[in-house]
Amino acid sequence: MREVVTHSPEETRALGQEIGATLCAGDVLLLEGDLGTGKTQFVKGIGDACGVQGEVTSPTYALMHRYQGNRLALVHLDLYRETEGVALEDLDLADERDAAIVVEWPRHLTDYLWPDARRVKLEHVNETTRRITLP
Amino acid sequence: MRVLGIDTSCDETSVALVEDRVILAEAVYGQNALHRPFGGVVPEIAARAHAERMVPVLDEVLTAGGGAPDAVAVTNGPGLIGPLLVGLSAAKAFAFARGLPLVGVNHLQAHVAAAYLLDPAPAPPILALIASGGHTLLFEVPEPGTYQRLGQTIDDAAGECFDKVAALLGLSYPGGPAIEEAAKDGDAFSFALPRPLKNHANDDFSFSGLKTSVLYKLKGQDKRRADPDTATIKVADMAASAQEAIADVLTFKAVRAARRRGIKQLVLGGGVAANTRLRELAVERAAAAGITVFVPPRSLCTDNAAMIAIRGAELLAAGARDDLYLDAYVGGTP
Repeated sequence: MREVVTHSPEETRALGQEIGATLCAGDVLLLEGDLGTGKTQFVKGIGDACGVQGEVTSPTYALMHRYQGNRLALVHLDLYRETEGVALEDLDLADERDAAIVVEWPRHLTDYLWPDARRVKLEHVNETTRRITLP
Repeated sequence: MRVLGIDTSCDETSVALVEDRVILAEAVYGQNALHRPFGGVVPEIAARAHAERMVPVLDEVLTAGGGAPDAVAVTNGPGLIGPLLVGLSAAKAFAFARGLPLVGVNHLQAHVAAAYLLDPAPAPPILALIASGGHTLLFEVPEPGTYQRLGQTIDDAAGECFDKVAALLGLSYPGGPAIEEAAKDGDAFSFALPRPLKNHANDDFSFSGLKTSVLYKLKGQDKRRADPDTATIKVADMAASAQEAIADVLTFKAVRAARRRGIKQLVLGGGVAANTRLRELAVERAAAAGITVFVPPRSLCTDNAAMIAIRGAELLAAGARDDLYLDAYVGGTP
């Protein structure tokens, strides 16, 4: 466990890039944090590390975005709108073994789905500062 | 040619029969009530509701006396995968059974084509701002059938920002109408909210910082702006300020993009284009630049199948045909 304090969206993105560089295919990262804590910024950084061309955007409506990065494919899930018993078979993740998976709003995921998943916690400190707990 | 349009990309089961830019028949089954308790569209609930309503909605249009379709156009993306597959399967089955040509339509391009249903209708070259819950982008249509994306949101969509700000303010879902209603009694300039990317040279948008700014103004309960009686921020003022910020950035960049390209017609589309303040500001700014704004009525701004039929007719006339292997896709803009 490591705690990092970031002072801007750019710093959060850079931290995401640092973590993203350690990800391999099959890794699952769960991002916990309220609205506006910088989860999407963090995933943008992971996208940078995966070699994603173009911007990583919020998948709140689409539920899932998939990016074919130069280094690694990235699956970005956002379960903000899910209620309970997230039916992951609907997401067709069986085909995503070659990708790293990052999940925003994982509160309704059951633990047994991804027992090896690592958790990142993002918290508000003040308007520009965030406390980020890394695995 | 009578084109049967089908759209099930999100939370409305929509079918329409269109001929020569005239809607002969249409039927919609909206799911807002099903999703309201959850504060947003729940994909699994949406897919099931589409499956239940698809055939009745289709039947309603086919028996409305508009005549038999000559072709089928269906949204195959972008959208929610479960819902999309329901409409796509229905379209394939119908086209196969009747031996009709089938064409897949990009939902975002169709939002632009919705303006062709207006009278008078715009004709290319057109600049279009499409803003909804899932998308926010600028299109250039230099000639009929060509849709070039100029820019898009780099994080949250404008409608998503409305929804999330509404959630922060304790307003109902969908956030756009709730904020518009609350904003009626508010002062749009009571809070200085950021206008992300407004003055950047590109045609992209960003809305996630706006949501965060609203959050901190609420958390801090800005004392200077607080109601002396309750010591709380007036929801109406914050709703009006957020609406103004969103409408300001969208219209400023859309009009600027049109002006730079010498385009004299601006089309608004997508659910966010139903917002009255956005329409007002767009018309005001466009008029100052000698640009005419085309805003379809609310029913054609939000998701609808008539626009799918219109874009489908355009594709069919250009010779496009899809086979029964046509697949749905979640993301990706043209």
